Amino acid sequence: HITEDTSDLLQHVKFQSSNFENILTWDGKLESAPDTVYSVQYKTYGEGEWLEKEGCQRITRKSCNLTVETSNLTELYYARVTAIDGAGRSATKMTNRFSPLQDTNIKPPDVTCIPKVRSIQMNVHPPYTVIRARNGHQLTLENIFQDLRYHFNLRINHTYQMHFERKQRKFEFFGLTPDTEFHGTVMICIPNLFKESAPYECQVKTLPDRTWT
Amino acid sequence: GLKTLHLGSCVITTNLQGIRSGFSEIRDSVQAKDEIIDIRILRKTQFLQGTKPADQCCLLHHILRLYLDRVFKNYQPPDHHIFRKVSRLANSLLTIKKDLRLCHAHMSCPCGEEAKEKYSQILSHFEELPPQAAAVKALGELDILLRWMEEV
Repeated sequence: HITEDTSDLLQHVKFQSSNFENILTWDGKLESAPDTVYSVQYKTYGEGEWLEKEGCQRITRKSCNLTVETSNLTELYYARVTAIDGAGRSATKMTNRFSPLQDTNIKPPDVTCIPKVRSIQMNVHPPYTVIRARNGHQLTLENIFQDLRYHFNLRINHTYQMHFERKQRKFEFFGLTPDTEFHGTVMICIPNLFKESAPYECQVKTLPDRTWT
Repeated sequence: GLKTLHLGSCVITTNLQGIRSGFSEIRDSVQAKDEIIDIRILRKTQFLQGTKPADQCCLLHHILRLYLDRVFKNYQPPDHHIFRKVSRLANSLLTIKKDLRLCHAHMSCPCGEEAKEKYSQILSHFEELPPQAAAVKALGELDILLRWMEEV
């Protein structure tokens, strides 16, 4: 009995996760026949049952949002996709063990840069996630990662930049030259899990000094 | 950096971040070898955090002994890279275990009923599997153990 190799139907089944928004993605055959359909199942590691993801059964797109189904941060998960092409050939592939805590990427923070005459203030907005506590309260990254830090950086000129690391979301760089352009960045860092967001960047100019000298 | 673990009256300092970094390098390949995904050895009901502080030291001490005596010894690494990483992890856990043994020597690592009960549950999950499969699974669950320790 010769089993046909159908691995070309389905590749790279994996979770793409940012701030706990967990999207299952995969690739099909390069010249994937339009009539290839995909069905998604998921399960919690250590449990027996594979569960069908409603809304991702016999779909033609190559992604499926499993955020709700994988929202328990203390659990570990698997997902798998079954592809069936027009000729009835099928293939099933599974993800690696998915840990929301370890595997989610951190999005850049949302920041407001406020220029003053001799300083620039940077206010990071609360980094909300899609995760809710039992009481329905929306959790921020700070609630989830106790060791979360913000890295504030201000480039003064080509050779000199100021850098501060803090738990608080607000920081002000003082002692700046009025009416001058500066480049600021803010990153989120989670040392324990070696996570670092891409930087939020702002180009901002201090206000002119209108005081009489 | 270093993290201080308060396990009841036993207080030790360890480099959990370094251990986690070492494990993250082999995590996917070790976990991929664990094909029995319906069974989990370290389960939430035996959580370290949910354990009475006085019993935490004893529970962790027994779990580390299980890892050193029956996981790292039975685990057969597929290549030299994994072998080196696993050896370093084993040495790190051995260091923690030695610190816990000091606590034991100073009577600050008592074994109460809760620790004994939880450890026997873990052991029964472990022994449900053939030795080699159990070693692979337990090694793949090191991130669970590390998180238990981080959250203590």
